Amino acid sequence: MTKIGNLQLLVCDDCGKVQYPDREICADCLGGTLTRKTIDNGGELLSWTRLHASLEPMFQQALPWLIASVRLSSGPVVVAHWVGAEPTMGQAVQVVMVDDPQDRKVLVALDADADEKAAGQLFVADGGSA
Amino acid sequence: MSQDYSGVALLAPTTVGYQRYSDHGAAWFIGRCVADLLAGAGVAKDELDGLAVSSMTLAPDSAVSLTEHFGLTTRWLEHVPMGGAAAVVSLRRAARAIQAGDARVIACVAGDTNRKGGFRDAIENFSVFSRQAVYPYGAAGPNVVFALITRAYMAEFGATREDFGRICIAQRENASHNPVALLRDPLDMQTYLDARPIAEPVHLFDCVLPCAGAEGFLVTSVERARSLDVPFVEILAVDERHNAFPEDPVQLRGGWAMFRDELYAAAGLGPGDMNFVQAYDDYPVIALQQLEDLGFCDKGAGPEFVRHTELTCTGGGLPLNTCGGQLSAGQAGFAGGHLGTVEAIRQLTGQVLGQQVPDASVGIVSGYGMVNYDRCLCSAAAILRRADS
Repeated sequence: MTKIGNLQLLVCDDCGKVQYPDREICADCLGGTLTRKTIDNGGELLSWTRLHASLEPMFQQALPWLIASVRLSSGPVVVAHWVGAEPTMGQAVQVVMVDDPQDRKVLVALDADADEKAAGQLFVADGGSA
Repeated sequence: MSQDYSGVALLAPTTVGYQRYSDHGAAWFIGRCVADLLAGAGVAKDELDGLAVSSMTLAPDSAVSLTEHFGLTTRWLEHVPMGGAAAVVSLRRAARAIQAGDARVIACVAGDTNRKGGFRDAIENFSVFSRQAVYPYGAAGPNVVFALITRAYMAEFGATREDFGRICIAQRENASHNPVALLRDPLDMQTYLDARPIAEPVHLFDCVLPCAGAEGFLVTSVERARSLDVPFVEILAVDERHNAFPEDPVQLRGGWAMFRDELYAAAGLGPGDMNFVQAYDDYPVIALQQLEDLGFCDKGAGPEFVRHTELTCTGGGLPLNTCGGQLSAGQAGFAGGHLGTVEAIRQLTGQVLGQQVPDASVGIVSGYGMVNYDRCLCSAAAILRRADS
């Protein structure tokens, strides 16, 4: 079980725009000071894929693997691991953060009504997506 | 108006390779391409005073390193890191240099090697954004990005896997006549549909085969081209956009949609006048989007269009990727972006490796490159015409 973290993304100090992927310059006002903040983690599922081929052993052992793209209510589009049953286009989702086995903070998307604890099982053996 | 590319000639379409794997470096493929370009045009090495290079595997070297490596002294040098859009961008820049008199003969070359195991590193470190926000999600590189785009396109416009299959099958038929294409065996719809999934809905035949090779062409003045006594083509119009439509949540259109009306207006022609289209085909959904965004059909009508349009060289419809495209010829790194431009010059000068489109006198080539995060950022297109001899 991996610890579930709030969704924290960079926000421009000058104009308040939420940024993703992480960057050094605000894509809206070119501000140069961005601060990581907890933001609303709701969004809409834009698309998804079931992956059957990977370049890394940690995924190869767990294939197939579900990945989703999500438009957050705060604006940015994120690519995230998906936990749960096969997603539906346009469904309401929530996005949380966990540490992956390589200690990278990664995003996990799941149904808006699902228990977010399920995201903690993603990188536990046999607990991944299907 | 800025759209005047008169007086500029593109010539000597040149292809080196293709090989599935190679122990050579990118410099070998680019250097051999330069040698073949010069020989093909009858230009002495000393006359070459401009070089535009595109390569993914040349790093840490760049076009600069190659001048010393190849013993070239140039007065015009470009490194064009725009992948699938680099050929059209290179010819646009080179054309301006020729018009301005900044250079007399420019080689535009893309080349890459493909060493066993080298692909992973290239994918992981393709960009800062993708290293952080794409690669950790399955470690599958562009397959994930384009699977997401493909599914969203299918949901939005009602495309089916068969529609993508029609593109792949037609291009395979085109490739069957091209001796340097790596994939030449006929492909039928059942085989296409039965292929193993890679990143659903993307399956095996929707993916390009990475390989080593190079593609290049020369740019010079019409005057010099005539004195060389080799066939050449002229640029009727060319344009590019980078980071077009950033507000679109999923990339269902490319930058072509922003400039294609001006492009055709500058050429004084319309989509119906094109004898072929060479569209960037890293995945068939992108080729389909180009058919729409280049005006061959309305947005979202691409699936219907390919159901009713013959895409092979000799079918009388709209020949698409007449040498087989990357989907069948192979993707030699960034040379995959030059493939379409080189093939367009081949078709318009009667120097094809495979099948000739009958009476081809004008065609369009489009480029698309650099998946920085969740989409490719560079789009470009050129309308080229066979020059009167």
